[in-house]
Amino acid sequence: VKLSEWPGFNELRFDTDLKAFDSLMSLFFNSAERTRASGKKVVAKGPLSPVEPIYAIGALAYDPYTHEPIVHGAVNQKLKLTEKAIDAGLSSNSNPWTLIMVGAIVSGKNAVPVDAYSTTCRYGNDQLLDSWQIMARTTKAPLHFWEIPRFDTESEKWAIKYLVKELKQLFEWLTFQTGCKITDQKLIQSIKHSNLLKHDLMEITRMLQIAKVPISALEYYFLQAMISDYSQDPEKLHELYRTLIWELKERESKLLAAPGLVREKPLRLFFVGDEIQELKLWNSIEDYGGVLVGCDAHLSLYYEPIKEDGSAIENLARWIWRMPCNMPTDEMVKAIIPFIKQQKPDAIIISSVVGSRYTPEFESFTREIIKDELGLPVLSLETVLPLNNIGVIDCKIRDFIKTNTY
Amino acid sequence: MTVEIINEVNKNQLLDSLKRSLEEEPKKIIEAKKSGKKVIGYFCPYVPEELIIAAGMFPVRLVTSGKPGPVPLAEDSSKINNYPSVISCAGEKKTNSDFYNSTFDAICVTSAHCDIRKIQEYRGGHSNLPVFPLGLPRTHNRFRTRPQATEYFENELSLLSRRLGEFCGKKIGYRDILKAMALCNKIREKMRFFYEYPLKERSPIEWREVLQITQAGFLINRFDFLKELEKIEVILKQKRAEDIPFDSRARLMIVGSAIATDDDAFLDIISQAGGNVVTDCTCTGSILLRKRVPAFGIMENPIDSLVERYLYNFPCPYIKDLPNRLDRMLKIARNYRVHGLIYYNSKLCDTWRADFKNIENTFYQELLIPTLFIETDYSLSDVETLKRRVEDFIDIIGGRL
Repeated sequence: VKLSEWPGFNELRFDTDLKAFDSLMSLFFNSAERTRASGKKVVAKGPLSPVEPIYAIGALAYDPYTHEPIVHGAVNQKLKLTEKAIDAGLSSNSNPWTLIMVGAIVSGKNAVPVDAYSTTCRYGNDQLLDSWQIMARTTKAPLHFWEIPRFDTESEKWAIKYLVKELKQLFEWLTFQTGCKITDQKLIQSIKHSNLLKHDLMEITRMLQIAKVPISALEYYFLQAMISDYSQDPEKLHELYRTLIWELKERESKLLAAPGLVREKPLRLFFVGDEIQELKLWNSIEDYGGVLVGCDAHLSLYYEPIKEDGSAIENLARWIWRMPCNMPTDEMVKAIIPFIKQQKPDAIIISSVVGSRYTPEFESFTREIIKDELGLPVLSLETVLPLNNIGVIDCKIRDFIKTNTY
Repeated sequence: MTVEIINEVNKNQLLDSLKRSLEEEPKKIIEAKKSGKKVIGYFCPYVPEELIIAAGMFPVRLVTSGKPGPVPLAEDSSKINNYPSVISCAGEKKTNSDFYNSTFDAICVTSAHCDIRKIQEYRGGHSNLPVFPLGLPRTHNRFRTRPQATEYFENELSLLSRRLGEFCGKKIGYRDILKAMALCNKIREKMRFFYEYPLKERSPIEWREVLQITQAGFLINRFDFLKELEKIEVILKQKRAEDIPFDSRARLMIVGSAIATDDDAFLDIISQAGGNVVTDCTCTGSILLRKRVPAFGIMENPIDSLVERYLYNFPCPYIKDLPNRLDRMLKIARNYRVHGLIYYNSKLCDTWRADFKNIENTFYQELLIPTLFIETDYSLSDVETLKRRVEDFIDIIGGRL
């Protein structure tokens, strides 16, 4: 089935010239069959929870927060699943992504079967932890939280020590759940695989820096989203990323921009904040003369590679502790500013999802820091469930691009 | 205001002196600030005020909110769909409508609760106020299977102690901390004693009055507060049980989000409906009072005592030790012979919301105690609905009895 033939995707414009992207989307959508066929245990993890420990033990990581809402919300438009989540104990004021995810899992309609739940307790994801608790309780699956201590340069010494011990206990728990034992060698291997994927995404992101951006916003969004759980197949994902990079390099060498771009010199937009289910937004950016040059939704997972020499567990702990999403808001925004700068944007879009406890409550602060540091115009977008916002978003994007182009 | 609330329920002049002390407190703080004393504001009960006192500063717990008015005023710094107590405080700070919300010189922040943490960060960043963060682990448990949490929290407390010392220009020594701990322990001992009165049906003091004493204690200088508690204790001890009428109202327990000082609408509804709240599990109430940790004796380093007191006390829902939380709640409900549970959830308080189903089921399965879920903010738009629901609930409990 072609991508555009899916019910929720028929209004979207995909870049059909990119052959590797079709394969990447197949990898995304056929997770269920592959995980069943592999016979491996599936561990559900939060969107910015690192996957290296899960792959090191030989299990498969699964990010239901990204996957389930895309499958049930954006594609199949089964928005009634949110009611199931409320019945299960989640507040109706929660983030719609979380509501759809929990609704799908507690009603047994999840796209990928889950054997166990484990995610990080990190700075600012209380709602997500609550939803993990509810999903594990309702499906009677084992649950394990592991903690990333708060980021503070003065507490680095004991924070890393703490994180190493938390990781060791996570490994013990994973061993108990899967029956496989972790070794240093396996962890190093897992780090190496994940570094390959990080490099791939860095390379794709680098290509957004050039004047003729070779990849469209919607495609880039999906590519980024897939780094969250490696689509349960890191090797295959790396292979497809490489093919895609090759296709994009072809375009780059021919000075070709992605086909959706309507303007010769589009307004370069960087996207900051919450992930968004309203996929039409990505097309709208291009329809009105903009181009996406970066997105920080999953940046924390590939902000830099993990060191490969020395103690694997300490390197992993150090990398996790320095993930931008783990920092207090002002430091987090300051940490992502160099990434934003190198993408050379003309303007910034801050996304907040109503009910999310991540960006919305702090959007004004984020906006102030970005304005101070970059001096760029900022557009704030607020969304709820898919298809409920597109009219307003469309107008806002059109006006914003128009205002900042002339 | 807090003083007005105390006035309303001050039937037996029990709290007269406390009320006066609360009225005089702003003047005292202004005077103390002129002489160089500093005020540290904090929201979360896991901030060890012992360290603030040991540094010679005033701790002020910022729960002096609960009014609908200031909420819209905080919109520039916060979305309206944030935790109501926090945005109400932010609004008060903006308008300087509350003395305590506009007087502090620095903020102490724990990582508990997203909204609280972020608003505090915002305040610090926006007004250039120093912010002292404290990392609070959340995966530890009573069986101490994660000993790394103890070591981590110990280091975090030492760092906080050093930073507070630097801020006030004084090195905080063990003796200072021990003295502050002794003071706080005396206060807690008295408060625990007051909270235990409603165990009996003939109680000289109601839970709500004890809550108001607790809330006053968040603001008054702790030395003065202890003196006030001693006065109240004397009055209470003079009262003879046989002179107090038997209270046959439905005995209720409140579990859930923080109850701010002006957040009294739903407590009024409960009283008017004929309910008698006898105990609570809220972080502005009694939950952290129950554990006794000595200041002197076995522990050599007072920081160890603080770890013991704060990390291994009643786990608020931020800490993921639900079985421990449930056990303790059941024990309290059993001891206080509770007939019904009021689950009070401030709108957008996700942490308490997620525990609701578990707590409701466990209370019914273990003790046959029914639960009424109340989710509200300070808008007062749902007062009539709440009233009907609470009345129906108390009717049902009464009928069952």
